[in-house]
Amino acid sequence: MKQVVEGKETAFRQLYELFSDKVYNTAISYVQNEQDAEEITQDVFVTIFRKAATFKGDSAAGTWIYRITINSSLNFIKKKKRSSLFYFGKQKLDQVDFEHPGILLENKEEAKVLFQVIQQLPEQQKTAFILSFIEQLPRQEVADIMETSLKAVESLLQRAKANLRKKLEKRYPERRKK
Amino acid sequence: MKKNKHEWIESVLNSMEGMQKAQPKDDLFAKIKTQIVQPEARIISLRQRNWVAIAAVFLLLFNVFAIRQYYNNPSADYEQLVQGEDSNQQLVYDYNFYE
Repeated sequence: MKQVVEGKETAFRQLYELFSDKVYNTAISYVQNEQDAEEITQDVFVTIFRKAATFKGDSAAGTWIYRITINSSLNFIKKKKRSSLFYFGKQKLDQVDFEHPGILLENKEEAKVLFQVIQQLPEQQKTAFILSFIEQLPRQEVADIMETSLKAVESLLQRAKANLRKKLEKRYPERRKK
Repeated sequence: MKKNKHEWIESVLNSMEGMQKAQPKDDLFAKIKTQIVQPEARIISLRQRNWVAIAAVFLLLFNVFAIRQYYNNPSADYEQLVQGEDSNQQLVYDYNFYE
């Protein structure tokens, strides 16, 4: 990070190589759109470059970068909601048909439904769920990123799963009986 | 084989198993580099903008008040002018050029 502050491109490039997939993957889980996720990733790394001097080292660099990514993603979503209201063209978020590019072929249909219901979760539950189950981070790291306790993260994940189950029950496709 | 409700819910919740991380396009780093060399736009906060607007309105009102005060009290200036003329005449009477 010190070398990034000094403006050394190789150091910044290395940081990018290490974290770009994590940042992009997290962003795409929030916004569920490849173009928007790229825009967020771009903003995150520009922020990292400009604010590297403010990084005090009291947390791991990855923790700091994940925090910037989450804040950028949530702000992006809020901004998009505001502008869609302004143009009177409200996109029904629960009907977005997002296919995550990394999902296995046999799971694509179920994953589509999962991403639709994830979008309906409250912010904190969504964040805990994305970091734990999509980013597959250890719970303690999730707690560090969210600046909360391990117990709080466990509680958020329990509530997130309960919420998801409720929403999925309503969505269970009706099957005709022969 | 068709899944019952519970099995279907579990399959949805576990649909991320084995997933790979999504990757950004190869040219993204170049775009980031381009954006970094551009000067950072100075952001004026909404609060700052509001204070500037309030100050502008205040100045305008003050100017309107000052102009109105000026035009509402013309006599004070006229009296000053008259007094000035009298003192000039006094000067003239003191000097008798022609006897």
